[in-house]
Amino acid sequence: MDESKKTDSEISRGCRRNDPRAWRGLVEKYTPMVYRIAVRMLINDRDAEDVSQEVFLRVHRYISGYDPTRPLAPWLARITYNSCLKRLPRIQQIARNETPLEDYDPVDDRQSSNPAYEVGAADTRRQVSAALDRLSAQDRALLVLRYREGFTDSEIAESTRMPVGSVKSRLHRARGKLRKMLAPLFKEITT
Amino acid sequence: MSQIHPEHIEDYLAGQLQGAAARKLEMTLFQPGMAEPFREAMKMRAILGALPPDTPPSGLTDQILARLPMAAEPDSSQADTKPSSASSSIRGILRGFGWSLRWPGFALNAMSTGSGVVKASGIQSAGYSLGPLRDPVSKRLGKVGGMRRRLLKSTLSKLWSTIT
Repeated sequence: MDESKKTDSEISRGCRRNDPRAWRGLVEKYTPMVYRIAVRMLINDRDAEDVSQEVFLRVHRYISGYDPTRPLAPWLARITYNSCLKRLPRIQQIARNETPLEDYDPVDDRQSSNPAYEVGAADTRRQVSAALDRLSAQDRALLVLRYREGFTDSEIAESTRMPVGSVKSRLHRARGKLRKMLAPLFKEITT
Repeated sequence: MSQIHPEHIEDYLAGQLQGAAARKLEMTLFQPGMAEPFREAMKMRAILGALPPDTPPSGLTDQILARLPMAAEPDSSQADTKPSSASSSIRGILRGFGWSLRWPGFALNAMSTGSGVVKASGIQSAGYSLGPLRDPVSKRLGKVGGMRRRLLKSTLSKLWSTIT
């Protein structure tokens, strides 16, 4: 059986026994999620890769204390979120000191590294991506957890250690900012 | 619920409203002026769904696994590979001698499965065994009393002088 297809409970129990197959299953199942959160929070591929590695090292260190009956995704998202928050001041410092922000176009970098990028939707994606990048890292994380990972409010609250009420209000504000920045796009879209 | 709060629509679209709460919201969607917030929420989902896929680089999983401190995965190609019978026999003989020299009392016992015996001073004192050897300390010495332990010690020293 494909290890990544196993339930969280089976995977976490295997990892607690330090079973290499269980670890492979965990890493294969959750690396995409961890990377997606990290790359959106940090807006940098290399930092997102570093954080992804850090996250699984932390998981390895603390798995013995983890309750295997609980779902893994919110726990991994929380470790990712915290690792990104720790790294952000350093990244912002480096960016201030070394890279003029006006010369840096993360959307174009990402486009060139992804040959499968659809030309038709490229402009929309670029606009959405650029608007998202202008939000705070926490707001980006909340939107990614909700709209990309499909987390519920309580799962987002567990991942970010925010009260559920704060998650709701922050999400509401973040959507408002995004709607303002992408007003022309909102007008174009017909549902 | 005459007024729909955008949060309720978001919760509904995210599947967080269940049962009666979901049905109540569905009913209000047909009221005049209620379609717009619903449409806005749908647009938000469509727009955020248009984000690039953010696929991790292909080698990242292997890089992560390489950094995790854990035992290597069992390799099925190597699991079927057995050492040659000649080399395993030699290793068995050497192992047997190693135990015998240190624990001749044990060697006497283990020789039931062995195939060679050395006679020294009228007693069977050394041999080798290809059979599984039991741990002499935990299985045997525990039952040997003080007298027998001293006897064992003197037998050992006699054997050692005979060999050397």
